[in-house]
Amino acid sequence: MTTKQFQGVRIAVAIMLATSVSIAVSRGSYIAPVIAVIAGLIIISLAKRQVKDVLADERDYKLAGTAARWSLSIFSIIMLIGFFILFALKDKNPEFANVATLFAYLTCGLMLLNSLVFYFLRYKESGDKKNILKDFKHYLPFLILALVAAFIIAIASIRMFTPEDEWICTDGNWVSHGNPDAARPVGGCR
Amino acid sequence: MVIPTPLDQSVAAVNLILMTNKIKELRANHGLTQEELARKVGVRRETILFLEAGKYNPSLKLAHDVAVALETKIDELFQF
Repeated sequence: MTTKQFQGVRIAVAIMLATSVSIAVSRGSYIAPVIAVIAGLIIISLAKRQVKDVLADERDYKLAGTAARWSLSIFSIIMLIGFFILFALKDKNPEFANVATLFAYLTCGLMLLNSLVFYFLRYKESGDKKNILKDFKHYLPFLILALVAAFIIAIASIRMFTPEDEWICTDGNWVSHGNPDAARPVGGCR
Repeated sequence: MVIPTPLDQSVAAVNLILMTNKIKELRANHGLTQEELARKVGVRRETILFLEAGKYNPSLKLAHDVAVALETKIDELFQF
């Protein structure tokens, strides 16, 4: 199989996935896309084995590394800007604060995952594993300190930014807790 | 704060320099197309194109493979 034929297979699989997802959305059945994804992965994997040409070489891997670094930076910057905008607008809709917090945690999570994968790969590829473990032991107290600080900040944020005056659903009725700014919600309390 | 040593600075400078090479000339002498050379060294044709244009610094392994395919030595094939 040539590279062009393989690209054709990939396009066909993408069309199959898009069709199955649209069917799932319109009919509310989510089994079809799951089967389609598994079938697609198997088809692509089998097709890849038939390709005799080189699909990706060292230049592609180098570019992929650069693209990953750029993506991480762009994602973090967009999430940070989104966090500040949504947090500034939280008075207009209290839900914005939750979304802003989600953005912040997503960014932190992605950066943490990136660091962990980096150190895992460095550990895996290094012949000098003892020194890397020694390095890790050196940084361990700082890591524990950072995790404790993150936990304290998370708890403090919840305490500081969660509104205390709100409507609480009790025995099927909305009961005011404190003096909430919003009007009594209609329905949704059972 | 980590202060870069002169060695660090020279390494950084070298990474920014693209090497010139004789790949196109030697490939023509061997009567090989870019596609054929790419297949011999296990890369895509575009990589050979970028190598010949001096827009990509290859890994030591690829440089070695290209030198072997063109029956020459690495230091004769690439120049800083």
